[in-house]
Amino acid sequence: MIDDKKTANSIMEKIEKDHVVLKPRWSFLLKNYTFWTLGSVALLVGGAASSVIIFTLVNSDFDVYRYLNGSGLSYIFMILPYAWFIFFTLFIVVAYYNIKHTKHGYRYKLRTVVLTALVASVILGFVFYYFGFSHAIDSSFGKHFPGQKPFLEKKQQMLVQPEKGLLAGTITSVDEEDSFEFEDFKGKKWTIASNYLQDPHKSFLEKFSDVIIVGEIMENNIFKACSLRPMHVMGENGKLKKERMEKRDNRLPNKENILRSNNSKRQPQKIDERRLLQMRSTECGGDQPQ
Amino acid sequence: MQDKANFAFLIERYNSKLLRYIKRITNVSLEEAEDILQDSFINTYINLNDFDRDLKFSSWIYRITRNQVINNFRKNKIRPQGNYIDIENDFLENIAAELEIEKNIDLGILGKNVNEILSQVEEKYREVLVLKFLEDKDYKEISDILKKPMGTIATLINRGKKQFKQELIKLNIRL
Repeated sequence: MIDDKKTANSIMEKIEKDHVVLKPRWSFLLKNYTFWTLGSVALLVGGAASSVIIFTLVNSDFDVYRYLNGSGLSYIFMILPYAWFIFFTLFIVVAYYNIKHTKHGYRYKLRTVVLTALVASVILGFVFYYFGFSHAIDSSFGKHFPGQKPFLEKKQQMLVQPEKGLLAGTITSVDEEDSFEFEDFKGKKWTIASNYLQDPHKSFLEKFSDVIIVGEIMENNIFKACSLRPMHVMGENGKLKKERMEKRDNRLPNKENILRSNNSKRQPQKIDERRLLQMRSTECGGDQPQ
Repeated sequence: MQDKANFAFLIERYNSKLLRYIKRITNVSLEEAEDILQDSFINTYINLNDFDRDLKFSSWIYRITRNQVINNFRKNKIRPQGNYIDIENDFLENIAAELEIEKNIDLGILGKNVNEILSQVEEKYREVLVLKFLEDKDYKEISDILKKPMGTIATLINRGKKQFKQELIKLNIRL
């Protein structure tokens, strides 16, 4: 027969004798809040990683893969931000671990916690992207981590492949009616023959300075342009954009004047977006890119 | 002082229940079970400020006791294995009803074999079966004791029941 009273007395005596004391409430609160804080920080970092992934995918210009090596799939593998995918996965796991270790974390199923963390990170990612943080994060990460390059720099280098019919860079002057001067992102200067360009494409010359040109090499530094389009940066960070423009203007001090003087010569044209989309795949005189 | 008196009252209230629970999920001697229980009560006392009012006190103290059992077995590097079930008729009726075999089985035969059957059931299932049918805990309480989601508990109980039934058949207990 178990004597409950006797057991209770003996345990209470042991508590007295060993001077057992209650752990303070704050220590439990601290532990719980620490897990919540670490979980939230992991979500924020996951959000940052997903924002860079969004930034990369949005700015990937998937239609240019035809001019580069291999298939569309290999292009996707080439541009995927692996480091950020690893980061993203890692911080989802960290968020999961911390949320599971909060006071009521055990009540949620693995898939509920992981899915919630995923959705929250992606939503945060879109918010960061919208405010231009993703660009800043990627740029800072690329500058400060060895072996990493900012995505835009990688993309700019990747799009300078004149032997494959692809050229990206900055228009430096538009003096002539059928040609313009151009400096690619690797610093090489080109004369671009623009007489094959259709009018809507030509109108870009007046509006934008950073462009992607599809065409072919005619001579050493003469490139025939078959199509041209502006090189937009979606989700660009305001401060970084300003820095980029200043750097470009310092490098090409006459650019704005040249464009302005040129604008006055041309009649502004209305651009039909649907036509432009069709024209992206139109090749120069039936020549197919390699 | 008032707190200590209250705690002594809690010990009295849970002492027998928890000692029986420890015996049901382990194969330790009575003395060892009492030691585990004493450590569980002391741990409960130390962590009283961590008691979550969303939980039943019984769920919380069962959880601490179970953790103490696991710690004890980690220390001794032996897995917990229940070998003692004091069979009550309520339990036999309960489990027979749950397995939908109440009309076909002699509760006396089931009672004689229940220890053997439970010892054959996997530990993760035995643990929930003990809590559900012997300790008479509901899903929410089992979820709070084992720190697993309710859905997982439901799955474990269902699978545990299936395994229990299979073991019944293996032992040639005619249904």
